[in-house]
Amino acid sequence: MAENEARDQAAVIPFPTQAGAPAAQPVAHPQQPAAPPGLKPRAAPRPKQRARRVVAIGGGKGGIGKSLVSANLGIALAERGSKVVLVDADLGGANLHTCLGVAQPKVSLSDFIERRVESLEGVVVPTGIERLELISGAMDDLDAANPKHSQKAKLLRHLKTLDVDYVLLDLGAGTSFNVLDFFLIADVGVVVMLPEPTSIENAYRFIKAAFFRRLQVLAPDDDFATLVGRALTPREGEPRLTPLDVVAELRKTNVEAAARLERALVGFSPWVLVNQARTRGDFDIGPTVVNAWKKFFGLELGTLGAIAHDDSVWQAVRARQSLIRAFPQSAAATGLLRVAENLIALER
Amino acid sequence: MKSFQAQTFYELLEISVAASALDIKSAFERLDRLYSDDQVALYGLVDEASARALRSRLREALDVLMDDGRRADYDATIGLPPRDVPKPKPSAKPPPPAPSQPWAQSYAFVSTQSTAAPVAAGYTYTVSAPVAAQSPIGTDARQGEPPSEPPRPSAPLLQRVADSPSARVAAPPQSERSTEGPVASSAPTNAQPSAATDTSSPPLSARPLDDEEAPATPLDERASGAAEPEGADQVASPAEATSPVDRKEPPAPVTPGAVATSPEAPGATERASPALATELTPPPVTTPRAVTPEPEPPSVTMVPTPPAITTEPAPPAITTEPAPVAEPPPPAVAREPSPVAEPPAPAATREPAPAALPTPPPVAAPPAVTTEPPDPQSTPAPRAAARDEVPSAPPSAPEFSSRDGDAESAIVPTRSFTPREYKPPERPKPYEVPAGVEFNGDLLRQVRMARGLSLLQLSERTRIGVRHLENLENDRYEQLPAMVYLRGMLMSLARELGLDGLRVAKSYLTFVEAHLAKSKG
Repeated sequence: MAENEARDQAAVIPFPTQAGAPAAQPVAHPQQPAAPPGLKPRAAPRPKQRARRVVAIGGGKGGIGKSLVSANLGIALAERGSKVVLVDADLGGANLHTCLGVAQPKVSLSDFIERRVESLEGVVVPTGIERLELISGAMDDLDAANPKHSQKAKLLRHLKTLDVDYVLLDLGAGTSFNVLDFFLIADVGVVVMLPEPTSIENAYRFIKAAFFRRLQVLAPDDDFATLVGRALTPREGEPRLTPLDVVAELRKTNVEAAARLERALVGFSPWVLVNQARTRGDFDIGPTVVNAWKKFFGLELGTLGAIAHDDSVWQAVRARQSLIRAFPQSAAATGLLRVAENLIALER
Repeated sequence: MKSFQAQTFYELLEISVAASALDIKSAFERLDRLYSDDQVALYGLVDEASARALRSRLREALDVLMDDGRRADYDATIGLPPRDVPKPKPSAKPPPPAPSQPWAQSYAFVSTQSTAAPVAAGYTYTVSAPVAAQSPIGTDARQGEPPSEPPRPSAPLLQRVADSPSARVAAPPQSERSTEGPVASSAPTNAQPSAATDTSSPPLSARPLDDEEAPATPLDERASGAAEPEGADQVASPAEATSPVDRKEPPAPVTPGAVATSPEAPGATERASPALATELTPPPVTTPRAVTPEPEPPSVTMVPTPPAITTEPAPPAITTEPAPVAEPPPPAVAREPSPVAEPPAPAATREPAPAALPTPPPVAAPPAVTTEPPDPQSTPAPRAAARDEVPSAPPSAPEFSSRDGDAESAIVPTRSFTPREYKPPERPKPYEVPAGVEFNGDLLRQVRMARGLSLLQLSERTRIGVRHLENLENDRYEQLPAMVYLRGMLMSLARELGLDGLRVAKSYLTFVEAHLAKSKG
């Protein structure tokens, strides 16, 4: 049982192929060979097997604009001609529909999880915006926020098979496994942060947690998380090692394990998105975080840009409208559009 | 990628091994600022001690690399071939030491005046195609990180790392692709050839590509290094930094708008101002932005009226620089011409960043001198000068005046703020009673009077009845309460009068006891 679940996830989380292969393909192709067993019946008629991109928007801390960013990125991408499904993965704290200005949908993820609806397509609801659809997470069941592992695995698996261009996952706060697993199945993991110590602290924690969770899931038999964790938090007097140093060490004793670890490391590179930037320094935080992360941990992050702090945001939320539709000329909206462009550019 | 303790100084500073002193300095300043204590972006990532360790290591790197002798030794220790610098480096180096090029430093959005600069400067949102074209080198940087990168590099807008040149766009994409696998060897090589075109190249080619086994990381460094080469050529013309601006303007009289984009004019001006007389021209450049650029030209003629300002413009309208300071490094001149050709590209860039930089730009000035010759032709230079003057007059006269003095003066505004001191009311000083004196009622009264207290007041404070106090002061021992109470009263009374309670009680009670004993007996 446990083994099965482990395999489930391993299949779901994009595992980089050979180092250096362009990310877009590697994510897509490994899926092909793996897919047939479960998907055989549907595979034939549908040319497109999966969402081209799964983008997870997380960030650890609450109230930093994850839902708002998700909703408006969805709109921006849809307006640019992509078919987008927004998934409210903030189980138990869902309000993505409110950010979109949509009434609470009649069906939600829980209907799928509880098998009241057979396929994920069954819980997709329109948003009134062309090419943009929503899977709401709003549900009142007590257990809504705590899906069983098998339920979660099933959900993760199906998310990847949605026949759209983009699946945007709006994650909840915190670093629970539920959140991290959603984050890790994404092709693009976006970490939203505010230019505030609290948010930045949580963002780092979130990234680290996701990183270790990834090691755990990808190589359940090796205790990489402990190995790397020890390297990252050295005792007094010991030099701080980066994960790649650990790979080098490991290679001396166990070449295969080293290769596994290296692959796990290489595929992990979330994208930083700074929200509510007010000063020029705030706009620099993204690149600074990227630089510092590399300097101290030797791993790559990317930056998707920054979104300006803007009063029109709360005005839009108050009016229960989407920002991009309500104030398309606002600084925040233009920032979001730029981020959307950057996201699209990732694919080329 | 290794942790920073294990990185070479070049990796640490994110510069190429061929970096000029100017590059080194600006890289250091950029990173030092990046990892300063007040950098919110570091919060929660590393503790202060680590950041401090990193900064001290950066400082060490700076010290070693800025010293030619020590740098040569260090190069030897990390296995670099000796640098026989055929390139203009010598020329380049001397100038850099002076100040730090102001513009290049601003890594933020500084697009940079010179083409190369943008890349070195760091991430820029604007991509100037021409730049990229000129420096194919830039492309390499990306390849450094093969695995994850591939998808990203393509995106022009996204900057993986601050230093990685966003400009890459133009850069040959194919190179990126190809590099992925073998990365290390291929990438660097590509970069170098391009570098070779530049004067600086020789050293690059010389360096061994393979010093590290780890392919991925070294590459980055390499790549970035490679990127720099182009930077290097700029470097060669570090002097340009400031001067280029002027230059650009000339061609740009039209483009000034671009320049104008940078809103920070004020900040820039301040900075510029510090740069004594030498700098005069550059600052003007910045200032123009503040003011509307175009109209000024006419005012140029006005320029001659330098008196108001300390600036030197007086000489030929063209360039102020020559007058201010005679700069030693003429070699730079050779460089200059090329930049001149490039100006268009740079113009496009915006330079908001400058504000951040504290260091004075003066350094650049010297090269400017050399450059000027070309400028005159273009005739824009004069305008620039004019602008300088102009701005001074209209916008912020005070600032300019300050310029005369020190840079400091310009920055430090107005008077210092002195908080008003709060003085707590003085406590009564303990009444000085000579050591041997015994306390009787009379003495206690004197002390009370000295404090300006009435019996009633004292009674209120000590919660001792007025009657008791009177009896105490009048030594009516027989009417006082029992010894136990009396002792407490004396202690409290003494405390209120600022006396030593124990001493008072002991002293007074001896009188009481003596009296009682006498009366009994």
